Amino acid sequence: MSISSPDRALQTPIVSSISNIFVLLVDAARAHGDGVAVDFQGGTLRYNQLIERAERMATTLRAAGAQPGARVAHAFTKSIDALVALFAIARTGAAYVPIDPAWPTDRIMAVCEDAGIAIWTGSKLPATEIASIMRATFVSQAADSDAVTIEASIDAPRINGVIPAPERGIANLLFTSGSTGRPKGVEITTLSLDHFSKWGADYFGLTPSDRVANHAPYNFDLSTFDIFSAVRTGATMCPVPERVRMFPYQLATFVAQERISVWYSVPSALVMMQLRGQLPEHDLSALRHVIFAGEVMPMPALKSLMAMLSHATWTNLYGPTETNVCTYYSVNNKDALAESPLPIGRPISETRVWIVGPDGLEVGVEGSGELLVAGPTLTTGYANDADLTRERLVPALNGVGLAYRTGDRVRRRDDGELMFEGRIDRMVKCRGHRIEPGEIETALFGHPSIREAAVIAIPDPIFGNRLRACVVFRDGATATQADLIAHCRANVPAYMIPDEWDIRDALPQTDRGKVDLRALAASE
Amino acid sequence: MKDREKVREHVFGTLLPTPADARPADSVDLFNLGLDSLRLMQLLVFVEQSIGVNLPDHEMTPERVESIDAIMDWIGEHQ
Repeated sequence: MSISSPDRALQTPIVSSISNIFVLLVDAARAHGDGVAVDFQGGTLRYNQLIERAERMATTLRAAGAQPGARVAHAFTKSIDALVALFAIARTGAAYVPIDPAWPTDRIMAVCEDAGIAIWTGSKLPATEIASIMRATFVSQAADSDAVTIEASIDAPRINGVIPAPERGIANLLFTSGSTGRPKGVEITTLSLDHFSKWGADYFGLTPSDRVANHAPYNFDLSTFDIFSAVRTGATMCPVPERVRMFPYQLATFVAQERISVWYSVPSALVMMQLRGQLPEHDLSALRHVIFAGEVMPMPALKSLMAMLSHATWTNLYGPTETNVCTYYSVNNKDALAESPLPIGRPISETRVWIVGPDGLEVGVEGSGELLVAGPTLTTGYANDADLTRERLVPALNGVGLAYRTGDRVRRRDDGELMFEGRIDRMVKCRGHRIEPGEIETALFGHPSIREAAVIAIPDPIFGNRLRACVVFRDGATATQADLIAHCRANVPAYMIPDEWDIRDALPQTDRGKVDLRALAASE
Repeated sequence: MKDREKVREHVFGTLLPTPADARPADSVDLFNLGLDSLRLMQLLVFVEQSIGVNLPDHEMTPERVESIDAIMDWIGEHQ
């Protein structure tokens, strides 16, 4: 039996694509040059200004070594500079690698190593250890250092020459939680971004007069809609300022004042606005599409939201980072009245799905099983991890190319809509973040006082889940909760720090000697 | 317990646990210590239930919750 390699699958794309995502900006500047590309905290850039800045910065980046095959860190909080840098990196043919500047230094280091990053762009200077492995550094705020400011980097002439395609078509790498304790880098292709952003722009009928909010951080695949679907239609990107994201009333004020017409976020941001945003006080009449993805939407909150914003359409998108969005479901009023969870819906264009049992064969009409996805938005694999790539990308059931094993258990409803039922492994979602408990446990095992550790998810009506760490200390050893949290803070991102701690004398075990996670969850 | 002590205990004992002998000053920026959306919601619920003060949603801004001092000033406006 022959198994297709990821490269082979790439050579036979199902649909044609542009060669570089920068082409979307070229087209936008040509068709809507005077249109506002980005509006952020009172500052705006028109499309012809955004492309000019990106092309100038690209000259500086190329001189620093950015080219096809290179990977460039993109460590920004929301800003105009972030968008300039993103398109400048793309223009050189390098892949951009979004990094949350708030991640612990060790995690950023692991990402830089796995991705092979030697050029840094970001809001601020990286930590000294990280700066020391960079060949060049470009930042918004430089203070006293050798780094080049983004502002200075755009003094260069506009880049010339053809727009190169990135190596193996990889436009960016999105790092997500890894069960072994090390984050994994998902390769996202130009084909994937082009296809998904086109589907999104077409499905929601975006126009140059739309104002599209960007709520998700750049390392979340949700941001690819906010950026590329907006750019390809000449709409205005409206990044949500970092501190406003946490404040429901401010967030609702932002949506009203910025006249946001398209909103896409994790459900928890919407639920917070429903609970504490005083939505009826705000003029949200410009809002025409509300889109959510990343975790299960709580139905009582959705019902209330839809009643408050009855003029907007509501759409549930589904898809792991590895497939970007692969299915969609348009919510109707009947769904809002029902108690049952929303479907994840049907595949987007050119995308195929299968539901398979443990034997790898499709389940019957009523059966539930693991969802496999094939189509143009599929990843080519994980950076620097051929084993994991082989495990997750398997031959598609129709014999054409590869399919991604999502790890999500689904079934098909009578009317054909797909229903999400849970995970076949331990992955959990908290506030839309994808979390492998194993990554947190690995961090906990690094604490000198800990002998055993297990992390479980406790369902939460607003945030999807809360994390509870159950730990057993070594004989004679102890640690305060504060010590444990400080230890986590140094090793995992803030959203992975357990919300609750359960110090025990022992963890329950299964008859096979593994930690009995079910018993732990049940012993609440 | 006085209200300030209750809030300090909730913030540094539960939301952002810190050793009792190394608790930050009341002026320290809580965002830098890891205050996030989940913990912020929990703090509001705590203030409403344990101190009995309703904090209007529209008043919640970064400036009003950035430190224990700021939170106490905000609570004070509604007592």
